[in-house]
Amino acid sequence: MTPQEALDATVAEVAPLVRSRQLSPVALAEASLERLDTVGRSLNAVATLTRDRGLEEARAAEREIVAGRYRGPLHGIPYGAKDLLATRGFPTGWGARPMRAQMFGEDATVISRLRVAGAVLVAKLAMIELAGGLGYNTAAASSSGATSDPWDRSRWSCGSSSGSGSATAAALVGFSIGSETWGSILCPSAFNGVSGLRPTFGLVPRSGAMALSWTMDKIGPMARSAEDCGLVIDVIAGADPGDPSSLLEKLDDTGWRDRPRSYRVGVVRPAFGKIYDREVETAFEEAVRAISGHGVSVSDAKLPDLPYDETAIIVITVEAAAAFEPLITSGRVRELIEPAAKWAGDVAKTVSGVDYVRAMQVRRLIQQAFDETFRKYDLLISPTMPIVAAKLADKLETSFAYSDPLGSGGNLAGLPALSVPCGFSKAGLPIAMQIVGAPLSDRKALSLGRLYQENTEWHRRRPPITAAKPA
Amino acid sequence: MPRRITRRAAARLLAAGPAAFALPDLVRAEPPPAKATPRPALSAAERRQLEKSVSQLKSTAEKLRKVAVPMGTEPAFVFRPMIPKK
Repeated sequence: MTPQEALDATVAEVAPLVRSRQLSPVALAEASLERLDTVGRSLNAVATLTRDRGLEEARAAEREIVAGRYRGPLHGIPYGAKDLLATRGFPTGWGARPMRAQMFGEDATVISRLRVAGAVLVAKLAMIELAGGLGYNTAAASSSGATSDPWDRSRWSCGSSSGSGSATAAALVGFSIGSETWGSILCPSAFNGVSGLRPTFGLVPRSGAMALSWTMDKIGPMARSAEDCGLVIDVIAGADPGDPSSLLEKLDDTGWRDRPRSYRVGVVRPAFGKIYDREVETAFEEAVRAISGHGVSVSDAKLPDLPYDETAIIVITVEAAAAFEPLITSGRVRELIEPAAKWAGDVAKTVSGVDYVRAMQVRRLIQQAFDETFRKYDLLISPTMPIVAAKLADKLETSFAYSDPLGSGGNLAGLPALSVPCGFSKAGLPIAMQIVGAPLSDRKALSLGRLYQENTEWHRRRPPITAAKPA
Repeated sequence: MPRRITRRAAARLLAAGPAAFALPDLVRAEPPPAKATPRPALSAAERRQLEKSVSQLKSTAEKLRKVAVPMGTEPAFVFRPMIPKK
């Protein structure tokens, strides 16, 4: 396998070759950097190339492996991180023009943990400005410009982990790190046809990450298989004193030993029709049949009628306005691309303290409702997105004008969710299914994803690799 | 009687501080202006957009006010996920 071919493969396939010295980490890093610099830039997927650091880490990995000190499956694997994770020596611009030159003196905890595991940081990846914390209505609301979907460059990669989705799909990196407050890992995973895990809230520490919503932000892996997501989460999960919300509880490791065939899976069927793309419905129903065909117990599930989206809107609006208060009061918010960002602080201030607490009370009801649901089911499945990738020029308030109860509710309740590709539209755009579990059942979701991917080939498809800009 | 806070106590308080302190040291940030720059007036179209956003958010909050929340329901902060009962 050449380094270029290795970039197309999964981490689980490449790691044994790195370990047995059939693949050089330095050659892998060089191939990844070359693709990032050409294809990655043409997709607007790259915020900063971390070339010097990547090559230094790759050389260190090579020396250690040659000396027989193999650290594990991420050793020598090139990866990219969303540009809201602090990295020493390189700018961490949060996708926002006013923060473009921002530098931190140390790495975010996730980056440190990946370094200890021997992974090789080759790029900071593009993102929507402030992860969309002050709102955005166009794909272009990023200091890197609109990030293209490699399956069709006139389409959007989705946000806010735009570069992470695009770069992973185009095989510019072995895997990437994204973050989600509401949809920012799952949507780019779905639009780009990669596997992405939004972990249980608090499982992965956010120390050194930009804060948007303290009670909802999560950091997670985006990769080319569910198995790879598991390899990354094993490294980055775990309590950290720098993040007061990080969980002391450990992941339930029975997930890997379980036979997913014993799971009770609830199928949440959205109201297909007006908004939902019929091709999404067809692909999802085929995925349900495939899972059922593997012996998993599948039955219909319904979410209780609660104001999921409204609760998430109030929580995120208020917390984001508080998180970005210095930017708002300094006036630099006016340097953001999204025009409405300049009055986002004024809008948020119209929500009273009582209304915020009310939203958090409703959030408790939502948690309790999911708690009840997960007494009946081990996992829920549903389409990740009702639509295929939107066009770059689309107004998002139009393209995304649908309710998202499992997305908003799942984020409010801190539930883990894995998105896996489950088909393609006639135009060749990826379609995905989400697998959602109770808190700390991340590995159950990964196990079912793995079973599905052992029996399907959707995750093995790759977009054409070209450095051409969209027309 | 008011107590003076010692440096050690202040350091302890800071170390136990909120998540904002979890960000690593900022080395060379773009410094915010010493004084906030005066806000330029919004255009008529922008003002309409602002009013629309405020109205939408108010109706969202209003919808939550109508939810029947049992008295004494503890809000979901400090937020930790509920671990389902076995």
